Amino acid sequence: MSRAGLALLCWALAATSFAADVPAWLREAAAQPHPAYPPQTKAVVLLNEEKVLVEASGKQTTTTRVVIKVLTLEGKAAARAGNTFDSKDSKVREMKAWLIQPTGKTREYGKKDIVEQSLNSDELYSSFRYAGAGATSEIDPGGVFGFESVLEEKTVFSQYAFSFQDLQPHLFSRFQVTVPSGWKAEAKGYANAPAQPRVSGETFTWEMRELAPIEREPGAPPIGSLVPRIRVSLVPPAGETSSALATFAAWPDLSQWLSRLGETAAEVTPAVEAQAKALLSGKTTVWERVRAVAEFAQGIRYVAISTNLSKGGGYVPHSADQVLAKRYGDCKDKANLMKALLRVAGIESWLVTIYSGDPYFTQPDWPSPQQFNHAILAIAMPDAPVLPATVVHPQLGRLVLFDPTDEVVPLGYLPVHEQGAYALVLAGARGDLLKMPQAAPEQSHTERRWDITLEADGSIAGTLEEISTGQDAFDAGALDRELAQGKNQQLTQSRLNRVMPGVELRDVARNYDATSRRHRLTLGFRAPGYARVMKGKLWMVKSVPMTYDSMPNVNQPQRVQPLVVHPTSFSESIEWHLPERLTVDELPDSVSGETEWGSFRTEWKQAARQIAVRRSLVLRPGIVPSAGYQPARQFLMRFNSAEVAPFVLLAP
Amino acid sequence: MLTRIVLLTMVAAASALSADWKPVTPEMLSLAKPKLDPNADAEAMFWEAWVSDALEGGQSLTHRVVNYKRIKLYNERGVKQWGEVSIPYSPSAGWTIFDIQARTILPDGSIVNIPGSAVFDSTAVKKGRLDLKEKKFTFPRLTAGAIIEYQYTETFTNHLPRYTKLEAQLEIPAWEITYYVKPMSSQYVAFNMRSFNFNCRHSPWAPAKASGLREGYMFATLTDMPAFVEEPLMPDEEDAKAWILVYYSAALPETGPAYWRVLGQKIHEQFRRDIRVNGEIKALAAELTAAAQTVEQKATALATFCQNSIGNVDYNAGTMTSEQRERYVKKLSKADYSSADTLKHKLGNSEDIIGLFYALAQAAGLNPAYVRSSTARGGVLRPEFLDPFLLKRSQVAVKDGANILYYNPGNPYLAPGMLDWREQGQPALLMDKEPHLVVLPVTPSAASHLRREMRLKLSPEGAISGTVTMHYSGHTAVKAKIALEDQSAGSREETKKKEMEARFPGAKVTDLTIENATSTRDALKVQFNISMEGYAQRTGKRLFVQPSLFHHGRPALFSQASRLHPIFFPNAYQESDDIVIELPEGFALESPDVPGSFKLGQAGSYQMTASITQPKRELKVTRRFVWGDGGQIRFNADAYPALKSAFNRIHDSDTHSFTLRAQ
Repeated sequence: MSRAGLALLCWALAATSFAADVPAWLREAAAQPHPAYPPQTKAVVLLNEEKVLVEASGKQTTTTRVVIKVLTLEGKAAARAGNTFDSKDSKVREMKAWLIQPTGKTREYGKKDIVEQSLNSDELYSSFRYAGAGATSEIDPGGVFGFESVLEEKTVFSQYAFSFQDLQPHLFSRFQVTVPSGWKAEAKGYANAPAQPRVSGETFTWEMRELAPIEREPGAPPIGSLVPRIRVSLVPPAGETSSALATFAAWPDLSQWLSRLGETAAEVTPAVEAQAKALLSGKTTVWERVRAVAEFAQGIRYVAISTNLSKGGGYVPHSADQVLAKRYGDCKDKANLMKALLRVAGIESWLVTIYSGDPYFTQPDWPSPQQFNHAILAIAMPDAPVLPATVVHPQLGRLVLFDPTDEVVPLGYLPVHEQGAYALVLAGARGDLLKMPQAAPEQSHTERRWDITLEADGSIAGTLEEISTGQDAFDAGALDRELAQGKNQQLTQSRLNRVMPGVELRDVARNYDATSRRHRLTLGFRAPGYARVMKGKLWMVKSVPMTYDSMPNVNQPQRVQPLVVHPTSFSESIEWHLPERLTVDELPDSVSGETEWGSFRTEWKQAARQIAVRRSLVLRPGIVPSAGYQPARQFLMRFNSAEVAPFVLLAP
Repeated sequence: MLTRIVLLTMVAAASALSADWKPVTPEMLSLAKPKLDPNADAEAMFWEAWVSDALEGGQSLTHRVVNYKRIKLYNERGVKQWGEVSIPYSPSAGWTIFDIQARTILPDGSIVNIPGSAVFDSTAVKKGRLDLKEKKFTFPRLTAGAIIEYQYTETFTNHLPRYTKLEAQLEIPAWEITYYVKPMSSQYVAFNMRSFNFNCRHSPWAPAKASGLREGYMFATLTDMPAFVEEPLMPDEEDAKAWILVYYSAALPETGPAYWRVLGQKIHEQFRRDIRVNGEIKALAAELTAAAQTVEQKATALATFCQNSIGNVDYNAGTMTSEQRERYVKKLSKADYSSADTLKHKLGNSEDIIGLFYALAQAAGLNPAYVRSSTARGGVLRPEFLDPFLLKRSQVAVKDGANILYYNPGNPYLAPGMLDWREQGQPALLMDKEPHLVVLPVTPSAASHLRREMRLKLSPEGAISGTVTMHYSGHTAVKAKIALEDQSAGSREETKKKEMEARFPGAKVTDLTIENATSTRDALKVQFNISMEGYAQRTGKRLFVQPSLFHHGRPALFSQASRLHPIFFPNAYQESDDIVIELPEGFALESPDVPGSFKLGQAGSYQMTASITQPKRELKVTRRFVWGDGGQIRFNADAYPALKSAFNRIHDSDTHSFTLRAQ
């Protein structure tokens, strides 16, 4: 649509303004004074309130009220609010919104203004939806948007995650739950959020006021891990349980509950048995048998169909038989199929539920199914070799963890984004929260080897070999799988061209060897004008042709948020062959550094007409607090500075 | 009851139109390597659509497309890319999808059908009565070597599109793309259906041999079509990708220049309907041009008024208050919003404002002519394509003796006499007494100037700090202002600061100010202080400093070895950098050298000079880059090696370093 068309459409939608009766709670919130914020602050949330009324039957009624004041033009986008819900078991009983313009003019948004949309558009089907209202196109800076919804749900879940703010400043934020008679609510607080509620009868309330805006800093943990937040659990009367509401005092309780939900899905049917036998045929060792099944499960296409979420459907796999017949499924389907196939081989395994994407997300002090978004498998292999994905469980013995959704990471390894995370092994009463193993940085290594001849006209020609292992190899292999041959070639060309404009490549070969689990890139190159030649006499040659890109972002001189450091291991050797007539006038000084979370070294050596550059970097995974940022930055900048250091040659 | 009957008729008709599955040959099954492109992950074996317009059920005007696609998947990437299908539709807009049939054909020839129950129907978004839905399904048992095929029918009810675009190039190579077309019966429409090929050649339209509901179709086929690949700096997709336009058009008694003359007269007549030269406009025109002597001065005065004094809802929509928006929407509901209304309400869209300018020019006796042109973002006009479809943008021409001056006051940021970048160099229909095709001028590079002044200090450790000032004019200013126009003042500066910090990794940018961001005419000015550690490379006794700060760490413009599409620069431009670097004590220049000057054919030039001033020991570097002179902003793909080489040379010069040696 044209720019003009879009503008007109928005305006036409907004054109039916009329005066409205604005509720008193909204007027009261809108009248609240708020502190002065930095000029880039787009909006302030004057009220963020969620009240949940829980009935013993499991029916829950959530009333949400949000009041947002728009401070700048960009803040117009913030004038919206809504709810997410499972469309199968939930009902939006009421949803209204109001707009108070700075002029005092008001407008009410009713049913016809509610926008409903599907979430998870990458899923084939999901009953999870969003409904909300917004005044983004018509609100003026200084205007206030108010929203109220009443959502009725019939759900088995009795735990709540509430964040007191997002990036915007919040003036007043409140979570309230009213529990069935005799029940109580308990909370865990994070990032300075209060754990202790104010209690009035069966109503428990947590509040925070005057929360300052948050500005995202590169390399920081996800925003959800930075904001003040509480995790609330309902607790039934002592000695009682509820059939309508699931409660979990400890992780094994949750393990039992989730294990029951999916216990029939891994049934071994004739088709599953036949498939397993075909896979296991000729495989003599347990390792070979498990690997055959693992590779088969990895080959199952990822397709997600999510239903029945309010009743724990997100944890119930489709039957192994069904997934096998269709050859597609989501993470839990793939793990469950693998479990069924291994069962035929007499190998026990358990689904493991984990949070994928942020290893620091899951909090061990809150047993809750709301802490996970992914499923992998733990396989009992008492005699398995010690590999990065091996753990010893106190009751289940030696386990090999495996993620069949990842198409490349092989048996014995875990994807890096799952390493170090807490995950729940679904082994009934024996199941418990387990910290996933964290591979040593050196287990995922990239090594570059250059052989470069500097020619008499300043151009260079040579070869590059880049060998990676561990996660680095898996990532490179995944890229090979993802990109068509032509695009991969273009990517390599662009990568080299950034540092050697006009480079010509030859014999580019990329190969991931599944046996050695190594990825190898080799190529030949020729690039004109690499050396900077001044008046034909002074040659400046950048001694490291390519930067190492997988570095934490330390561009900001200061920061207030922690910096996440991912495990890194890198080494590089560059052999420079110099032209006859040039002499080495200057080499950079070798540098090295060592801190609690890493080390590096870069050195230059000359022998006859050759210069050898050697460098290495190891970073251990962890979170650098803001107080430790400056030394960390200095450390990494010293490595970066050495990367651009040139050597100097003189012509006679 | 009537509705139900009509619906049943439609469904029955659609089902009958749907083809059975076409045979799959053993060769198709066993094919292991791509036929057209060795790097392809999948290829369309055929891709066909039966497109028809008809009055269905005696009352429902229906545009119907029956699709049938068969795709061979060669590897896992192909499986991943084509494994799932999502077909959008919108019942509220009269757009429906039905009769979906799909199946997987495995390499061994076995077939897995997708049952109707496996086709998911979900609402992507819904607001009031408006909705956008989608039908989604996935192919079971997919594996490399499999063939997928699916058919579905889409209908657009109560909608007879005058223009229908048919894609003739896909994201994968296609062995055969066939379109069957059946226009509305001449019993109901006076127009004939015609077609025009863009960037492709297909077989001549011929009657399809079919009976029953497939009777009466004409078909055309394209074979061995390569995949469409995007490249940086390529022309708009409409000018790079293969497509066919089928359209309804009145009988064409005239061809060639005569056609354009008649069309011009008709367009002009329509345009004139909203032009009101009332007393107010006459008085204003007289007032605005009172001090002007020449035609150009008069036209400039009028254009300036239109740009500065009339709110343009197409450009600063985000900054308008809700009251202003409501006012405009109310005015729009008036069918004949004329140039007099635009002046009265001081509000209009770009077209309204162009109309007002035309009226003022006429009142001032400038004898204006309305102009319609094609756009660089929507297909360049082909004179042999006898239809107004590509004439999408408006301008006004004013004759000044033998010269013609073109104005587009519909863009508030353009200097008078400059045309929008999408318009310059485009063929256009000039509607003077004898309407005819012309080519619009390209604004010379000097009018779009980015001037940067950098006053920096270099420390012995290699850090730099100082002030940077940037002045934008012409097209460079228009782009920058449009990017900033919907932002508040505080945000503008914050956005620009972040942009600069991203441009100079590790730099600290402070005290950033922006001037004239909302001014329609004045040059945009951005100024900030910058400090950056480790900017110059330090060895034991030397410092290597690249004076061209804005090119530090930037890659060369072109990286790929070869090129498929023409290269298109949106506009001609110039860059001037004046850099002063105060050198650290105890260092002296060693073997100073400068890249010098060179010509870039007829299209531009590059020049770098350097000097040292005493006693402050300042290194002064000037850089001048001119590009797009003589209207050369579009180059054929065969010019790519030369262009790449030229821009590599520019990059080489831009990254030139000076050596400072410790004394």
